[in-house]
Amino acid sequence: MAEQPPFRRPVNTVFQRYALFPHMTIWENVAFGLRMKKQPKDQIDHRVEEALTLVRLERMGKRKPGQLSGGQQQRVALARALVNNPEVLLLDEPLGALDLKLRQAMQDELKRIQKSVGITFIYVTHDQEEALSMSDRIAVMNEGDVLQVDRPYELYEDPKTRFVADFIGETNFLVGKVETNDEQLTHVRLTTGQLAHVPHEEQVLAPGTDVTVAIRPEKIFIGAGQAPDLYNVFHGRVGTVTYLGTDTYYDVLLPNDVEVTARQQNEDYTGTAATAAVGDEVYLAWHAHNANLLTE
Amino acid sequence: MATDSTSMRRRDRLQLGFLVGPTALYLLLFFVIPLGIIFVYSFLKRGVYGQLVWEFNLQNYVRVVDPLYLQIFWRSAVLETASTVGCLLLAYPFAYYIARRESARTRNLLLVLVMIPFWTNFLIRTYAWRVILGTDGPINSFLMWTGLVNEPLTLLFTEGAVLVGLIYGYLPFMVLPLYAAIERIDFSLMEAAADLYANGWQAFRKVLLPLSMPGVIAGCILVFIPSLGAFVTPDLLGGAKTVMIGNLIQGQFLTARDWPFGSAISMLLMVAVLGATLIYFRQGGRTL
Repeated sequence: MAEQPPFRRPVNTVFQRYALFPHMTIWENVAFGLRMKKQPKDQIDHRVEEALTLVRLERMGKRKPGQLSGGQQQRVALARALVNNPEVLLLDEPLGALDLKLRQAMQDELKRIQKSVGITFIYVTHDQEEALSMSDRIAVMNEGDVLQVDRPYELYEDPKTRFVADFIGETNFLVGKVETNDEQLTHVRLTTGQLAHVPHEEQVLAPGTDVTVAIRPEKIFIGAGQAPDLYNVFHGRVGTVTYLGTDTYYDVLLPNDVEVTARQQNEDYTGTAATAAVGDEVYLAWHAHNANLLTE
Repeated sequence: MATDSTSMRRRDRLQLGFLVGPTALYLLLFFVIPLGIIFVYSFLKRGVYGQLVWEFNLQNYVRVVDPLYLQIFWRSAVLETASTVGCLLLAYPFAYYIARRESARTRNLLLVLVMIPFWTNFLIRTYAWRVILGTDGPINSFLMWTGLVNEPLTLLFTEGAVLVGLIYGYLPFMVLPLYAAIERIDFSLMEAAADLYANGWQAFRKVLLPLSMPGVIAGCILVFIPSLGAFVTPDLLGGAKTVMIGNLIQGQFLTARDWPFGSAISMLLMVAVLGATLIYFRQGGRTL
């Protein structure tokens, strides 16, 4: 497909602001591509009906785009592209112009339509949550380069670069140097002076290599008192506490002013909003397999 | 409440008077009343010395049917239609080009260039065309120099010369409304058309042209109607052979001193234009 010029590829696009033709009816909008391809009239009629039914707008054919709501216009744009039976459908931030409620409803609708037509959707979005919830596979791009292509959970749990780890979700980055390796773990001397233990990536890194240990806030256990028996246990002092309803964020200061954020779900309300208060000595602990070793 | 609403109504009426009054008064004095005079004149008779004879008759309107005059009307209609179409064909690509410039500075600069000719008197600019098209003018000199022709072509005092002059004179009136209409169009629509397999011509026919139609119509009206009454251009560039309605009317008032007949032609011309415009607005001209 890459050898063909863009206008020959069997790809259709859903534009960011729909770009529906305002002077044509919904029916004419959807029929546009088929008419340009000079399909026989009865086939056009049939396929336009089908496409409008698919997006549940079969009764709106005679209206003009200006008479439809944002969500309905979005669905017309979808029908107008899908009616041409492309091999790939490109959606350029299709829900960007919708408000939150409608966005969520349209996400479900898009998934339903994608399943029923079975066409590959390439979905461009800046909304990481949307990307995670909508996709079978995600490609993270930065300045035109594809950095990583993976299933949503692989991308989140095992980012290969600092950019990807930072772009999708929140992450703590702890800088250090490889000290030693054993069969499963790389031992990293952090700038805090402490030793972190992280599973190898594909390649075992030589001692002395500059690395970054990435650990997500929600994978960190935090508490006062006795730390759990894990490979990675660090002690520090609570800097700030941010209560967010379902979760509380603790910014903990490790030696040399390295700050690590831990996120704890508020599953048990014990009379205070937080497990630890500002200034408390706490432990931070995580399973070795939850951290990632990054070299770039 | 009752007093409130009456005082409101009085204020509204006062406001209406201030906003609309001056224009209404001006139009009444200098348009409606003169038009009424012309209307009345068109039913009078010309005296032996060109004076008005107050004797009601329809003779002026009957005279118009003379083949001599019908020929002038026909020529006018053809020339004006041709000049409107010519303006449209020249102005559309140009207006499109301006509207597609990204920097506002470039767009404004180009629009100013369109309007610069207005800074020079129309009569002088039309005389300039006489020089350009003349026997010793630059066009003929060039053609002779290249050897394409052996003797100068007759360019001046032809219908072609009048057409060139009319197009030249009214081109800006076509460019400006077209630009305003095209500039408003969302160009992602053209991308969408291309994505849906339209080639350049189809995208133009199905999307750009229909969406710029208000500008096309406004431009055509702005060019066609004033060119109906044009008399300077045909006079200077067409000479005695290419008489148009404007010249005919002018001649009746100034040369033949037959004011009633001139008035009658004026009235007919006005009714024709009004009728055409009304038909247009009835036939889905809602876009304007």
